[in-house]
Amino acid sequence: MTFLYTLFSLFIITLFIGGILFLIGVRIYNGLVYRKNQVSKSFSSIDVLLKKRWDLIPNLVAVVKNHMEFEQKTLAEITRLRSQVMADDVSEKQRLNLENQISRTVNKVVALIENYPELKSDRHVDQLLASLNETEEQISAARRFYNTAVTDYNNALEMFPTNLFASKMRYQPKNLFVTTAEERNNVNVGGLLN
Amino acid sequence: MKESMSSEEIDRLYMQGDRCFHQGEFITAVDKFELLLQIIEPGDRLYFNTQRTLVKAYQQNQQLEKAILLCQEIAASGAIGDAMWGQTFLAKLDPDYQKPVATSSDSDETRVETRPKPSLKPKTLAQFKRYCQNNLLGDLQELESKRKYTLASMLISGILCLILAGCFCLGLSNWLRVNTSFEFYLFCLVFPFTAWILFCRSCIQVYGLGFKRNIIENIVNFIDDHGQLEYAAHLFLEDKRRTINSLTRSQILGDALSEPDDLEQEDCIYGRVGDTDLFFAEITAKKIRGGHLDELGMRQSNHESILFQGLFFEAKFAKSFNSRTFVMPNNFKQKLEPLNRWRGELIKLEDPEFERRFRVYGDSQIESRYILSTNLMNRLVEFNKKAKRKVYLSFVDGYVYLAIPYNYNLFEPKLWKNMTSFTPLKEYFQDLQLMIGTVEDLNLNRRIWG
Repeated sequence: MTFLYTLFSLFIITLFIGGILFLIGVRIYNGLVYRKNQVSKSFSSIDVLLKKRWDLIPNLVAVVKNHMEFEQKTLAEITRLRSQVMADDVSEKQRLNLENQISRTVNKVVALIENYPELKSDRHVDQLLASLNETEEQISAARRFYNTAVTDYNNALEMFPTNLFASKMRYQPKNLFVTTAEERNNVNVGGLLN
Repeated sequence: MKESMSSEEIDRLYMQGDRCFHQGEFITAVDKFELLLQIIEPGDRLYFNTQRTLVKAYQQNQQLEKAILLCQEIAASGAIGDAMWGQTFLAKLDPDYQKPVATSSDSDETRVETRPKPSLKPKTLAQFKRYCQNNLLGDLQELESKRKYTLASMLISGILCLILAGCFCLGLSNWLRVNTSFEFYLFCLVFPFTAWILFCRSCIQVYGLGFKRNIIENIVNFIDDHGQLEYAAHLFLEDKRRTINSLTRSQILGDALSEPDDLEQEDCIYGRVGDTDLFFAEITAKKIRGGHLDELGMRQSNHESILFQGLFFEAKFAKSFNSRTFVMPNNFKQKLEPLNRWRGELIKLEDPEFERRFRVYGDSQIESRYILSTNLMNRLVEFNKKAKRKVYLSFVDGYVYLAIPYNYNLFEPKLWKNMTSFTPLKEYFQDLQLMIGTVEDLNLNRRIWG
């Protein structure tokens, strides 16, 4: 009788501990899935904003091309980059690189507009620049969200005990958005205008 | 025939329309503002604001003809400021529209009006000290003599009260043929003491008369050397309603449905700093529980609890956004996520110093970061260091709201401090400069592309 009672107690204790471990496991598993989805969500938000910027670029080129006769090379460059980034066979890494180049070229065009008073006073150009500026700031915010989500995800991949689950689930670390050495340097507006 | 609506309902309708407009629901916004224009009279304080937002809503809703018609109506209005806005906006809507040519006499006025208003330079304590010595010393000396007189009156009346209570106690004990004990003396003191308290309160009120007009208003004028701000020691009932609406809209205390039952406000400062319209006041928001309304509509036998006491600030934010973002102090209550779920998701930001001081909740991870740029985070940390207090912020419907709790009444004359010394004045100056300087501190004037 005592043996049966001990066995039953052990069974209950094992069941209780097993239940707790199962719940912890479920929580860790769900947490990892949530973090992975946060990374995807943040990346897709950047995508949406980048597309918004693509839509603004043809307008910018169309508005400024008649005035900026001497900057046709820059305008051709921005159009070329846009076409490249919209091509289907671009890898994620290439795309990030192209997007960074687009950011730099757009900034260059915006800085060049300062040279053309008639453009600066144009209502359409003003509205376009406001939209571009807003989109750039939103892209920057979305990148910051992406980096936070990736840091959170990568931490979970390296920390115990989530790393055990992550390796079983074959989760791989993700790369952060990093600024290039060129972007880290202060913008030389004088250089852009010369 | 205009429909009748209470001022509260009108405010609520305006708020709903404004919110719909800022959230991009232009059709609903148009409906609400059109209804509002049918209800309110042209002289109403909300009339121009409603017209202005309705024009923008029409424009966003692609109803250009209606927008132009309404804009023409505003442009022909008698109020110069409203008409100027109407003409400027009409020129934007209709490229063929020719702005009326200003006559030589009013062209100068127009130039003054349209010139961007300069932002305020923060004043140093040394400058303020000099200003006090040159401009406030006379008033302060008068105040100090009033303070001494008040204290002396309170002290003498207190002594008289004790003596009177003693005499009363002796007389009563002889009459009742009972022994005088300390408890009996205390019993006799109850009535004279109550009378003394009432006397002291009236003395303090008399002492405070004119203080705000002579001292606080002058300090505001010193900080605002361009004369862009107005100071009002007390505002009227309808402005109180407006502050209640702003406080509710800010959702700093609770969600948009939990409105304070009562609000007291004083020391209201409003106007424009640079390109930013601002308003702030010392407020006490209250929740009233229980009680009943008497035949005059006054609430009887109720229990009041203070929801918030301190400074409340409202200004238009430079960036446009649709979601809500809350920046709360990083304390235990704010760390309990289930309690703050109605504020949205927890937003983790990159700045460690900012994260140590604040906890951010918001509806959108991206828009909250769009609002809280790295620059603004740095500025908020600096502002928090300067305020040396808990700071609550919310960004809702295109506005930034800021609340700093204080557990005492600000901008009141001190009874126990020498008013000719610099210490109390320094406190008033620092509190006022902190709030007026918010526009500069948080860079609210930054509008890169108009």
